[in-house]
Amino acid sequence: MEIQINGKLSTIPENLTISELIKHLGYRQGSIAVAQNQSCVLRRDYEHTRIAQGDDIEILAPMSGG
Amino acid sequence: MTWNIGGKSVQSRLLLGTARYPSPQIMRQSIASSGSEIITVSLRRESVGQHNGNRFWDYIKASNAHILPNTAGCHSVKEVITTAHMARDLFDTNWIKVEVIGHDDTLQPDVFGLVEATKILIEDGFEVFPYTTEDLVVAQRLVDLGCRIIMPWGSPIGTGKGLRYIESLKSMRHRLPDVNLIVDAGIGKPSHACQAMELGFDGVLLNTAVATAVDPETMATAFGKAVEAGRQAYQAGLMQSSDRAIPSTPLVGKPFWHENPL
Repeated sequence: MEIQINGKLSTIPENLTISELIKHLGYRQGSIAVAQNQSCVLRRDYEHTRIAQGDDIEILAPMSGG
Repeated sequence: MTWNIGGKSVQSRLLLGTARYPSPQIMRQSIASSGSEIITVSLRRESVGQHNGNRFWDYIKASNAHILPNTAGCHSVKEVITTAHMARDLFDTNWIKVEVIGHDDTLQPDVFGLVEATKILIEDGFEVFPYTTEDLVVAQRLVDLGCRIIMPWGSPIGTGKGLRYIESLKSMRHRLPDVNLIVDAGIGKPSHACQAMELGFDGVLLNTAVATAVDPETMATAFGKAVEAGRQAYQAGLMQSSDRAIPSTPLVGKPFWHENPL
């Protein structure tokens, strides 16, 4: 299944949840925030939010800022 | 003396950014030296396999400062709202410094987008720290929406030009006496920060002036002292300036004066 992850086209297994995607990609849960199609997905919803073909996923981490 | 800001109590009135330091260690030392208890952070994409965000997050947590996430770089209300929600979920805070960039060269805030985003976020329970211009009408509109904090720029971000719009800032202080006013952006040296505090502003937010100093840690100390000095001066009551010279030494009893010179 093809989706966009942080603006790049990526191929991932079918029917993953956000939680499974994070694990699949090797991110540490609790140190990232996720948006699906420009809407925030709360941490408590990772387990039951499924990713669909063509989704636009943003995975953001804390960074320096002014 | 304690300062109540956004539902929290702090001692320092200096808010410090975390960007552009030579190293994370220098950033952490600078935060400590400044005495700042509120630091700004952002959210950015992290590539798969890289974990810079993890390391940065660990440094930030170790500082024990209050986290003020920003929406820097957002150009639309939609981006701001999504980023604010992601920040609240990740940082466990309802604080958000709202920036809507209106012009890529000047980094001037889009005040129309700012007002629109602020309305949505306040209704959603956020404590909004709006980064705005010196425009009093915009500031009043933000207050009317429920903002308890207003953050007008001193001058454009990263310029270090100081308080370019000083008369407007004075007016804002006069017209909004009960709002926490924080000068954000354009502060280049400790005297600028001191000047803002002498005007009666409640706090100062800066980043580049410390981070890009030759010795950031010492500069952070200087800014901490400048903010404190400016606050004390404001509380002490500044003298009135005069267009005429007024001798400070008493004239009565001055030597070498004769009623009838020989």
